[in-house]
Amino acid sequence: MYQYDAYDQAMVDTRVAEFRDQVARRLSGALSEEHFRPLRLLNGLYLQLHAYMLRVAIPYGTLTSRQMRTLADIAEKYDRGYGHFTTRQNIQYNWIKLEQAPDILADLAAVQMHAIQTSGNVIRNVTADHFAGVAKDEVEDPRIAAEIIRQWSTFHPEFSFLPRKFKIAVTADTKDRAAVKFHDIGIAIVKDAKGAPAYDVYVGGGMGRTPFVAPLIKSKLPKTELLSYLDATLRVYNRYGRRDNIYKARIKILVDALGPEEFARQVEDEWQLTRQEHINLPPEEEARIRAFFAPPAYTTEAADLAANMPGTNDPAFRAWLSTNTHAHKAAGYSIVTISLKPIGGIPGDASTAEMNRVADLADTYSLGEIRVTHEQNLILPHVRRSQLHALWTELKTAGLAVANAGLVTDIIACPGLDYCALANARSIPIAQRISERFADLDRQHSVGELKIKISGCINACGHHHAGHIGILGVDRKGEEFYQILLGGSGAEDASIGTILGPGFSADGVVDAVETIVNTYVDLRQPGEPFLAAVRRVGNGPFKERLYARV
Amino acid sequence: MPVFDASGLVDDHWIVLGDADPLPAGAPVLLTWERIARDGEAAFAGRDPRGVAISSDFDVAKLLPLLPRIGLVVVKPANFKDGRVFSVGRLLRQRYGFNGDLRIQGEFIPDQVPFLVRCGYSSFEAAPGFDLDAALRLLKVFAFNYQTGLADKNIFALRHNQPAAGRA
Repeated sequence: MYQYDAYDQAMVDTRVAEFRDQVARRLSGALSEEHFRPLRLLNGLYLQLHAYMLRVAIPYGTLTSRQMRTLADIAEKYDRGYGHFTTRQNIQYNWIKLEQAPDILADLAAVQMHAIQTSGNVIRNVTADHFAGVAKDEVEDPRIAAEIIRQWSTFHPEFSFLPRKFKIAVTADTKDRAAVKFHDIGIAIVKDAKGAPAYDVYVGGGMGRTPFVAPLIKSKLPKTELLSYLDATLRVYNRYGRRDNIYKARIKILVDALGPEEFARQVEDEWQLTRQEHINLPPEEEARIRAFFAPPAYTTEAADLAANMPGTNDPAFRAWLSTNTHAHKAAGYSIVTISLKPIGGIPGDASTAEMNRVADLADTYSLGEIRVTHEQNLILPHVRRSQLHALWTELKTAGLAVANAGLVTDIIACPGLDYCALANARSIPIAQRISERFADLDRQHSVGELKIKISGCINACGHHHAGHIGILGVDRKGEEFYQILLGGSGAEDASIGTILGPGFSADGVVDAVETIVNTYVDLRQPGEPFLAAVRRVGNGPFKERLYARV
Repeated sequence: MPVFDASGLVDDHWIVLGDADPLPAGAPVLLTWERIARDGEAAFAGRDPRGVAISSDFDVAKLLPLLPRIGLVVVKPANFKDGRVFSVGRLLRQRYGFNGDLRIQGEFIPDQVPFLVRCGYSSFEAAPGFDLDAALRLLKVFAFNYQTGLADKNIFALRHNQPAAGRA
């Protein structure tokens, strides 16, 4: 894992001092709320419905156990004993006092963390595949590029007042777990003609009120040219992106208005100049950062490499193995998903006790390392297969062994009207009711992979466009209503869901989801997952069943 | 409005001319881009350098042939969130090699001054009520930076050429 040197540490420490100065000027009245707003947003501080919310970056989703304990302490000290893991590898605290925010940033800086650029019209926290470094088929660890981007984008003087926010994600596997085609820039690390890693650069994806799957703008960019190409892309956006209307200000609108070919041409022209302007990372610096992501020393004990594993006669353990563990690139190891989606729970929430427990388990079972997923779960990336049963037993005791990763109750939901000032409708209670409806684990496993994503407004923080079943909360004459979309995907086969028909009430939407699931179960072919079935038959059969009974 | 640079308030000797004002002899004058475009060589009247005022959405490549004869470029943002001024600065300084005075005029906030300096701005003309003390203090906050290709202390280079400076 990357470790800060004195320079990185000085940057976050200085930022804390700078923000303390800004908060003092705001509290004294020297700084108006209008002028303070973009500054507090640059430090992840939002004004929500009830209080300030602080969003802390977990760059590319990688955490040490020590960092997790600090996140737990912050929840205890400054919040109400909870944190909320988000869809962008951040954690949010919902009950923050403005005057305490600098102290929280200082606590974070002490463990090499920060809230820099987690909101505002800047390059946001860079995200990556949560299986980075351990995925069996990845070209190389995408966190190397992500850490380079993190440093390059931190306090970038040219790109800190962009037309709108800017999100970058990196993946290096043919299976995309980072939703790169729904980002402003999505980088897929691929092999070039000679078999060396290179970057496919997708630009102009996004959700919100105008969803787009990003087109490929640059194929096989040489790795050494990453920063000059990013500079060129951001400069074209900064100069020509719309600033007259915040709903038209994302780069996706510019890419769409120009057309991908013309946008690519403009970036190419700019890049031919930026690449000569000493913007690219010095090779020795790439090597320095790369060295931090070298694989840890894995065990080679025979017991770990043996095919049989203790505990597999327990069907509950087997169910958990089937959904919550994944193949690891090192023999004898598995990647473990800790579901933060207990039945009836709030997706992505974790208590202080749970965060501390996960930190302890990471120390015992996962070389002290934890990952945060964009699906609001946690990962223990390096678990010896011989210890899976022991880990599962401990997780069960802690209430963290729900065997539902990727299943119908593994729901993504935005904070919705319970917290968010922008929301039109609540998201969390809908997720909770759906989760309760499908509480029966056998039923979930027989339904199979199914991703439900819920947003409380068209800003789409709950990724409803990319849900196999997407749910969008709207306000209809002061009442919460929910539209249902089918057929979205945030993976390598990215697609945008289409609206089924008229919306449903808060109660009705839970019944509707059940009808959709039952319809799928009736019409699926052997082994056919939900998304494949929807793509085969279209929305028709689902519409018929849903609206026939009304 | 007062003009300052990284060291504090400065005397501004540029005379701002309207598009119809006659050119005074021998004085450094600031003209709009529209006037220079309209009058061509007559706008210079054999006397360099001139100052030119542009908006943040101006295509700075148009200035390239004139730059050796321009001593001041004044950039006017639409409002304090108008980040185009930063790209204008980098293009003029780094790409086109402008080495006269580069000034922002109008709405910007003290916390942007360090970014403006890093993008090549050398003087600042702020609206009334601007917190000059805060701006000058903020200029001293960060000793080095991550971005390459800029005229400030770059961490990527420092890491490999010099020992780290230690905690701030």
